[in-house]
Amino acid sequence: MGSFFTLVSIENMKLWKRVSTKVMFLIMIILILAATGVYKYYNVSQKVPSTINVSQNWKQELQTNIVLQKIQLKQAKDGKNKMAKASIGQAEKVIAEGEYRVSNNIKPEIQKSVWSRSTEFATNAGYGGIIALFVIIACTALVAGEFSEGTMKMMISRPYKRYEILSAKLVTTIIYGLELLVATFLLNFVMMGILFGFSGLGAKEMLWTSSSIIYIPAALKTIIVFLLNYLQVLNYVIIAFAISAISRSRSIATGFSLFLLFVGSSIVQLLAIYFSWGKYLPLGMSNFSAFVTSGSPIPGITMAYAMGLSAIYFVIFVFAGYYVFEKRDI
Amino acid sequence: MTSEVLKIDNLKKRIGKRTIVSDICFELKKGEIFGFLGPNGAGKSTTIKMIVGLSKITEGSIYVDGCSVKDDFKGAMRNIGCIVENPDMYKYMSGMDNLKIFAKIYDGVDEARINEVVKIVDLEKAIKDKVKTYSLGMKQRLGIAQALLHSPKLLILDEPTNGLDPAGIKEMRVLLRKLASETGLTVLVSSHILSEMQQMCDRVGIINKGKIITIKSVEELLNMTKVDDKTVLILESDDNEKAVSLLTSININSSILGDGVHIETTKDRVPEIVTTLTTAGIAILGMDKQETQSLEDVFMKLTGEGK
Repeated sequence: MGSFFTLVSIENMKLWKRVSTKVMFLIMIILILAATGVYKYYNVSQKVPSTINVSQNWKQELQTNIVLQKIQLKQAKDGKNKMAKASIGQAEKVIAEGEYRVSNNIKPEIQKSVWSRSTEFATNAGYGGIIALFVIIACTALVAGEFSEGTMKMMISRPYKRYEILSAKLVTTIIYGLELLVATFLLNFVMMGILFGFSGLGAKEMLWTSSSIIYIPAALKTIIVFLLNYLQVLNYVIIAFAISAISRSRSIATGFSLFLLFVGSSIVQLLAIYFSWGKYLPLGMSNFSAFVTSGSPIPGITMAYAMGLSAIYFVIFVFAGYYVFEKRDI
Repeated sequence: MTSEVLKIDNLKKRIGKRTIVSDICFELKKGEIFGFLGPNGAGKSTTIKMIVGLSKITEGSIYVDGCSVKDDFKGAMRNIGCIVENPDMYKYMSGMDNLKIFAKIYDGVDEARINEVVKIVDLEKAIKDKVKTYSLGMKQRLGIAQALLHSPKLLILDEPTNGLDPAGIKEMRVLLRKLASETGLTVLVSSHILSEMQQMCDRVGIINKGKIITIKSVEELLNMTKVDDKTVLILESDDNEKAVSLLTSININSSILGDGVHIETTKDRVPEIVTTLTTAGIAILGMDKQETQSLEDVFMKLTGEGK
């Protein structure tokens, strides 16, 4: 009798037989090629210097900067302006990095490593959002799409439990997202390397953990940032998944998740900055990679808290989806 | 171990406060074709959906080859092949890819078996085409192919003749008959068209308003059409009007109907009619006996839809 693995391979086959799945993959590849190409063109035509001048007395300059930052940090903390408080996380990160450099005598890098270049570009280009968009489309096709196409009944009347069928769909969706992520990561990295040189392959970089700095290989930091981005994507995918299973409507599931992805999360983030109860809402703090790349976006929130909160909502959405799917008459 | 392939016991389905079906009991034996007959909305689909696990059972039990749908869902589903409502397949894939997907679910369904099934439903030419290019008849056949893949003991077809042309209906009938007699497959077919069932099935269960009204063999059902000794004749002669006046004079109900005379009488008076007419010099060109009560009438009477 077929195992769960068989079921996943069936769902995977169904997904990849769809033209849209292949097209989305292709769009991702073209997009990366185009974006990196345009970026290179901009750098060449605007003569953006590829190296940064680091003066001999960088330590003194850094220390002055730290003092300045500390004053700003104190003002933000004592002040009433909530928007100013939102910059606390970033100030803390800059101070910690500066102090770490000074005390460990790490001179600012003259040239960006290929790792930090590709991570930065991936973040700025918003690859995460595009991956989320594609994975949401794939997810709603697998779950709600089968309801509207009438094929769900063909799957239910099989020697499988309903939760197994739904789980296979979820696993397939997550795998598709990982495939997109790995392809994006590799292609982006290779393109950045080809266009700007594979410098600093073995470089080390500082990683801000919301409380301290750890000094790790740049490659590892890049992978961590990509994985954190993917965790953020999963936040939206799980909502698309739950709405698909509950509403059975592909358009509702896709539309609502995309709205949350592009608009909802910024609204919730603002709510979290201005109101204390906003900190308990989903999605506002799901930009996990921001915690390490630019500091906590909301004062007083650590990455552990943000992840814990997301995990709780994740479980709630999954449970709601499974519960309705298990009970309903099809 | 029971010998019944399908056993339904006191089945009930309630949605909210509304009872959709109740007190459904019947059993299907190996190799039998059972017609599940009833008007639209009588509860045929609901019952079928409960058998294949699409709808939850409110009360009662269903056993497929001895496995309870409630307690041993996987065991029960292993022996079922079905098409519920429409033969919805993955339209963006070829017929072959569809079959390959469903074949993966079961053990021992290999390439050879897939080809065998495609041959059974006579879909060899189109099997590599995308399903979205299929006609409804082809989709029905592909649906039957996927239902037969794993050689189930019970085949369930919900309104399989919907949208099929007469030739397609006949083909399906021949196919089902052949499968039942040659492989001992048990078939449950639902329909709201009685004449179809009559030619296809061994037994028919009539359902209306959520309850089984009667379960009869097709023969028994046909016998019900001959309820009384009333006979209706259509007579054709060279002078219809004279015939009517003659018949009225001997107290026989008659009227002109199109090209002939419509006569209502009893069997024993037929010779008298013939004698009267021939003696009067009327040439009888033809005489046709009509069924007093058609199968449809019986069905309407049983379901309480008629007068």
